[in-house]
Amino acid sequence: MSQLTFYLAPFSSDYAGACSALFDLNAMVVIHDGHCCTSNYTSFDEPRWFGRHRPIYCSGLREIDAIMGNDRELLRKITMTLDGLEKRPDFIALLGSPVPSIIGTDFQGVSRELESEVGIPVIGLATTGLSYYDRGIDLAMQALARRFCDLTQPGEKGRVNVLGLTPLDFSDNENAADLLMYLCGEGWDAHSFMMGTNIEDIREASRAEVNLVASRAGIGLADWMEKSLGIPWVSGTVFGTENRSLSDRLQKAAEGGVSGGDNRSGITYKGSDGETGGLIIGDQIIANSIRERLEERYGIRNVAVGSFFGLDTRLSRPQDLYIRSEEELMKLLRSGKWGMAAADPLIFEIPGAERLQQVDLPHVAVSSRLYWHDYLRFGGKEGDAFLERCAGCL
Amino acid sequence: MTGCTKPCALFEGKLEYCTPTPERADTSLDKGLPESFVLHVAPPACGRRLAISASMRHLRGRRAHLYISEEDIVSACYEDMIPEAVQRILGEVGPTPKAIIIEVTCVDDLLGTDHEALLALLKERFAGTHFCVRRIDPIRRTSALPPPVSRLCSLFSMLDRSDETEDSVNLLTGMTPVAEQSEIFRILAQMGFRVRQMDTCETFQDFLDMAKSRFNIVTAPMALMAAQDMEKKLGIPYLYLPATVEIEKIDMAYEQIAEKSERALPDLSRERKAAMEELERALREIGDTPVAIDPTGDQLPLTLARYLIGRGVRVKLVLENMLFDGDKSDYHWLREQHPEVSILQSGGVELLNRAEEFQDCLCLGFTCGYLLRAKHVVCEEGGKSAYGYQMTATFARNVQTALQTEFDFEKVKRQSEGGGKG
Repeated sequence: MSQLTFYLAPFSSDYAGACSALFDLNAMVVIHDGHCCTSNYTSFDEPRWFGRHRPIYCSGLREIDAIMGNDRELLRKITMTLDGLEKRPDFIALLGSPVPSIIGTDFQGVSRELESEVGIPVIGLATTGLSYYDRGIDLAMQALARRFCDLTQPGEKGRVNVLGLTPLDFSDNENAADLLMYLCGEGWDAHSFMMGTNIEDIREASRAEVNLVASRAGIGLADWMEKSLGIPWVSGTVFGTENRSLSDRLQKAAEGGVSGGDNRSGITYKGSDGETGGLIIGDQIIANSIRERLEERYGIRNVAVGSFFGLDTRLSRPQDLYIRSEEELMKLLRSGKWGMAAADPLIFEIPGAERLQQVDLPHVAVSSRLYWHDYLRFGGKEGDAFLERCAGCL
Repeated sequence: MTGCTKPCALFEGKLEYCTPTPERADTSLDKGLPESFVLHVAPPACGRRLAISASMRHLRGRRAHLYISEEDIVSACYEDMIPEAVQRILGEVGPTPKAIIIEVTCVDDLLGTDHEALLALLKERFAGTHFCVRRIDPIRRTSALPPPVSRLCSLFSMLDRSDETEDSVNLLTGMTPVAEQSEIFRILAQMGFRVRQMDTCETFQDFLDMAKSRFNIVTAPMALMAAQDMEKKLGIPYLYLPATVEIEKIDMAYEQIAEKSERALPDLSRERKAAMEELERALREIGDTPVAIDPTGDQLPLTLARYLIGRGVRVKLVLENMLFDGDKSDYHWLREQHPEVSILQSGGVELLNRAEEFQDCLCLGFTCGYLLRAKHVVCEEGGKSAYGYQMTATFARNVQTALQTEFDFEKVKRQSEGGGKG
């Protein structure tokens, strides 16, 4: 019964991912729900919520309006609130939740209607609460790009968009700033599409020479930009103090050398690694970056990457695992195949994990505010110490 | 004091803003009946805050989540998965739970699940185990049966009529139990009663034994409907005596308890005098300082506002969402007699736009304190609430402390996080 979980909390959902993608923009965001979904996001998926007033609201959906399909009520509430806002938003985003997904709310249609009434852009995102955060981020970022990206802008040498930089993977500590500073230090003109972004960065995203995908949620947009604008992409993030290879790969991509999976991810070894010794469970791209550093610094090759949030086959190795349920993970942990795992501390509470050497790698999308205040800093000496701990177990 | 069963919405039709909470865990999470287990049946997104809150409260291992997929919703077959999940819980969780609480969410309201048939099936198949269905469905938040009310009705529906009557009294509370330091425990003990509260039961049998009590004392409006159900089903009468800081109402409450129990009240003059003195000190300290009140500061903020105005306090703002019958008259009194008092939706966006008007307020409650970034905030810590004269004294001391110190929001933020280990 793979849909039953005893140990792991439900993971961060698609609407939370979409909200987090829009958080730094001057946008009015409305989650169409009764209350709990918005509360899930603000209290349990957004480390930046406490202390910052952002115009992210719950629609206060009521049973009678759901049954009657009364979308007018939603529009009325939004226009009424919009009139009272001190600062006019650049756009409005309407997000779905489980109830609208059941009653079949047409978010595109409602968005068009609202836009014609209020005269500012409205994007509708049919999030459902039935998918995970990466899908919500992807939906939101692609919708932003399709709507606001100026496709006529000329390219600019050295400019890079960072896609998928989300607190659900990077938390709200220095991780995002470290990555952007690293890129600046390597001579890149880096612009984030999420944390620290603004509408101008999104409008001018087409000027990038190359895209850096920092977490798996950014791949969909990277693919779209490659197809539509010819901007190549590579994946990865900083980990520890030695990250030269990341900038090198960006450079190669910018010079036109990228089209296959190897250069995108930094993976240079595609064959079977034989007996696997270590398992890194987390976002695929962050976990790949850890694996890459372990290979570069310590020559360790027997590491598999596991993820609950899907694997892009272009970035994976044969031994990597898409873990579909808690039950499946339990079987894997009990298989005795791994001696060490780096994973969210909640995962280590699953029976079978006790026999592993454990290295904590908190993941907001998994354990929420249980660990987000005490998050690993990926870059610098803290990242080095983490790599050292992993290597010491392998 | 009488109360109407059905609460009603004070405001309708506005977008809502979610204020952070000072607690680590979601306050709607049950502390958990002893020896019970929760099966949450919903789309994955619905259970996140409850599961994380359970971890923060170290209740992990006492709940499971059965995820409903899009396919299950379309085929309406998720009801069929519940018995299988229960089978696994009873087979794998140790010690074997004596009760299973099936939590459902808004989605379930729209799918028309026949809960009675489901419960009948489960009771037949798993004889000896108690079951109930608890709704967490905020799409009914402004209905006559909002989730906090239906939660208590569901849980108490597991009690069966008892032929035996004990010298015990039940306290039916809201989300937090009454703190044992409250004098009501001593008073009832001196009158020969054992006090039972759902949240402090040590075994599931203790909970079931609540059916043997002589009467119920309802301390929170949200527990009133459960008390009325218990009167009908179990024949247990009730007194509706909501927690208040008003000395005169507390006097009357104890008199009603004495009358109901036909037993003499012990001497309460010491507690009463201490509470009165603390309250007078607090009122003197408040002086001309304007006051804002929200439901996290008092369960009936409109009633408290009326009382404080009567004691010469300048109440400037009240945040509220629901009206219970007991405070409807207070609402109308404020509207008519004191139109200068702003009554706004708790969780509404209006306060964010009008924050400057109220920034000088002493805030009774975290919600208004946070939204106004107020200097002085009364924010009670801990998972229990005082009752009776003890409540008055605690309230008064908290007010004095809040006025003497600047509220530390960063500290609250830090306290609201963590709890994963240890």
